[in-house]
Amino acid sequence: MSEQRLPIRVKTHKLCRNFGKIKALRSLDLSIPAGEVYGLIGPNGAGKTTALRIMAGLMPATTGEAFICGHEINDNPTKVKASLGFQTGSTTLYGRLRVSEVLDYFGQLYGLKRKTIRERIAILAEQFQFSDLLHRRCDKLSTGQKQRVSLARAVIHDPMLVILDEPTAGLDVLASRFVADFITDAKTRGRTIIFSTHYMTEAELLCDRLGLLYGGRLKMEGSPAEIKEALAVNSLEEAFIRFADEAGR
Amino acid sequence: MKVRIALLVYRKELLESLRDRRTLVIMILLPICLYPLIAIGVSQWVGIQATAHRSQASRIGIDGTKRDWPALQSALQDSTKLQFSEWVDPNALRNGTVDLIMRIGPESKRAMGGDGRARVEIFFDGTSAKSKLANKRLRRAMVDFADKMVAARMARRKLTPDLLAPIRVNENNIATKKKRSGHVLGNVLPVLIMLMVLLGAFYPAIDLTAGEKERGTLETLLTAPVPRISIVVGKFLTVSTIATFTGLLNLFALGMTITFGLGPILAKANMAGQIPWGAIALTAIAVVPAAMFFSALMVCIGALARTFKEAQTLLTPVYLVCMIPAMMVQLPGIELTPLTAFMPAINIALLTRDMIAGNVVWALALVALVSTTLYSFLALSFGARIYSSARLLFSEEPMFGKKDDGEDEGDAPLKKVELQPAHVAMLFLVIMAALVLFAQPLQAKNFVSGMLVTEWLIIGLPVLLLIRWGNASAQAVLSLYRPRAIAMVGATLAGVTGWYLVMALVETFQQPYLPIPPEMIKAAEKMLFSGDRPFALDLFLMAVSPAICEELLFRGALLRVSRKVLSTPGVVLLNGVLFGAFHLSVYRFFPSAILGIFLAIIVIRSGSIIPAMLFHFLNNASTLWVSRNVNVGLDDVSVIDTRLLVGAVGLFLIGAYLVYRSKQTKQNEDPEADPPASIKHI
Repeated sequence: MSEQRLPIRVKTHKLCRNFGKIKALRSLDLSIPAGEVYGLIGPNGAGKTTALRIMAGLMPATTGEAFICGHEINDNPTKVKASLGFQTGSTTLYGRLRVSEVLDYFGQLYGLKRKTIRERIAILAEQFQFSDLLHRRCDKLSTGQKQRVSLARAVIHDPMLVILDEPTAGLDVLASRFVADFITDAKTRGRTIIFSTHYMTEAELLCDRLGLLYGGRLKMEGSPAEIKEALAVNSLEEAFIRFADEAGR
Repeated sequence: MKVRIALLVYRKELLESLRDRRTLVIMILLPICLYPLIAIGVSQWVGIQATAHRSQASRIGIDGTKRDWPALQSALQDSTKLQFSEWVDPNALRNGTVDLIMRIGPESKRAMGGDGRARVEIFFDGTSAKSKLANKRLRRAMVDFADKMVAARMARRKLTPDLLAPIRVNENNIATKKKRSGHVLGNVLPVLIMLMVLLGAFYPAIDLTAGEKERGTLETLLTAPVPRISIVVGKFLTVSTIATFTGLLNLFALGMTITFGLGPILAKANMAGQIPWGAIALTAIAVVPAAMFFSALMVCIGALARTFKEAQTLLTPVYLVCMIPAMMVQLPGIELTPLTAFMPAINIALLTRDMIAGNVVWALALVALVSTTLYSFLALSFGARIYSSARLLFSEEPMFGKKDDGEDEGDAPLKKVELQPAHVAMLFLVIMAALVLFAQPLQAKNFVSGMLVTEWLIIGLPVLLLIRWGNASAQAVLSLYRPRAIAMVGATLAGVTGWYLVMALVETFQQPYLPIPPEMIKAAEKMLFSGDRPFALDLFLMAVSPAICEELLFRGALLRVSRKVLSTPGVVLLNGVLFGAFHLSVYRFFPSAILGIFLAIIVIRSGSIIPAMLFHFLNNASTLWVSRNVNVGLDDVSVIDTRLLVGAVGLFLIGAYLVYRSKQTKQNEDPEADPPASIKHI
């Protein structure tokens, strides 16, 4: 059977971002095909959040290019945003709105029709198991419930690319499992997932490929097995420590 | 901008705000409950107290006996509201046993028997309502008695009373009760309406901007494929709606309270006990642009803050500053004119006053409404700019104080406290306050020491301390870079001629509309150009010191931080306006603002503060030299000579062109970036 050539969903070329004199991101080159789960790992301040925010169209790059689902982020920011869903561990919901109102609001912001929004809410409520919470105010939800609703909010428009910035930060095992299940399910449906995490087990379990960022540079890239092999370690956690030590020298 | 998205954001924000108890309390509960409770409570209390006082007889103590003057005693005794007691202790008034003490001179009986004049002394307590009422009653009774005595004396001599009163003046106030009450309300209501509109906008503006940032929902919203201007407009519409509703509801509640709660009190004050509802309905027209303006201002400033607390700190001074125009309408002589109609906030306060009083000039009203709407759009465009700035939206840096400790995934770990607009804004406000409170009195007392303290201690030193506190680079903040020679030549040519052009501009455009009072010119000349001081000392005080200290503040710190949030034209304009305001005189605003604008352009084009300092020095030094040597006063326009002016314009243009050409090949566009490679560090 011949290998199927998948379309590239994310392509960055020499992406840089400076904050004053601080170079948060230096010449990042990424190429992520459809259906891949790509993990960005690295210590705090490595540039993960900056890279994800640029790809999500939240902040401009100082120099370089980024193509998301075929659209250049500076030329077509609206199309880029329409084609992706973005969720971070720290983003929250509108506390004074009900769950259904939040989802309906974002559905409308993404330009979905009323009927489609209703259908999507029903599907997502079932998938993330919050059907009984639809009429509850968001400030009355538990942390895990909020994260499930937040994920649903990010994918209300069923995007081809989902960017998750530390989606499991601060979640318990059960809540984290919902995120893991979502990523697995999205992959099977041909969606591309990019996510950053500090949990190496999670990265090893879910990611097809990993990118190791340090000081704003992509120092290493490959499958979890390839990275372990390259650094001659048994676990990704050891690989992370070895990599951080070597990069820091 | 997508209107559909703006309306979507508006609906959602309004729904969220209406579910917020704090908004509801300020918007609805406060006006509905507060005014009736206060007004009815006050009127009841005043009514009860007044009735109690009026029904009681005033206790008059006589320091002596009635027998000293039986005629007066018998006349006063007719008044049922006066109760007399004899041989009263002089301390009786202090300890409250009597309300008033009267002392009749011992010679009075004899004097009154003939045609003499009796002497009566009255002692009362001006802080006691009862004592004041006793005084009023006693004086009224005595005046009546005196009139009767005069009439009797005149009759004895067969003379007519007109002999003593050749002119009788009858006053006729043509103002109706309705108009009188409109006049009083016109002074009070604008303050209350502005206060309530501001209060209505204050909390929602913070909640929708900094509050949303703090809650983390802003990032969520910005991931949606919507234009950021639509988000800003949606938020602005929400705050405007709440502020308008708060203003209108307050107006209605006040009207109802005046009509039903304060009617009796107003009637007693000889005013209509009903509010002029027609005028109030008209006032609603002014409430809407006022709400729009304040909302736009607060949304835009609130967006600069990172947290709710920061936004409160930023907006509280704005709130207080916005209240000043409302209070100014109570000052005599301030009217809605073609000039004040353009002044933000003042125009609406004056328009509201005129509308309530029924004296609206519609052409000026239109100017006020249109200009306020324009200012709102300007503020909005600034707000949209903030929402487009990743630096301001995702800054981890607090506007006040040091950065929080702890782990941070913001990817921009800064070791220094980056100077923020709020830091410099606070510094500017403190300096302005110090100028009013200390600098002006000091200069009036001793000009030399006053000027030295003002320039070096009040203006220059705090700028350096702020930079030191922030551990920031003084070179970067103050643009202390070595300039190109062409910039220095340009600044010299423009500096020695600029004052002449400004003088001509003031003479042409300002003097016809805002002439400087002669006594002010004389006072300024006396203080500034005293012949007792050596020229070198004056040069140091009025040219060298301002050129260094004022430049450090305005073209250094202020210009630097304002470039973080404003476009270049905005930076230049703001610098001019603040420099104009800094001179604390409405007459000096225009010339100072023009100079401020030009000085800001010099720094931006040359990339260095040094040419601006040179220009400032030469400008002041030239004015000083001419004033001393050419023997002309500050108001002497004879110095404006057409040939000289043409020559000055020519030299100035050459200077300006050289400054313009001095722009570095790689201009420093990013305020945080390194200086251009061609600029040499000092």
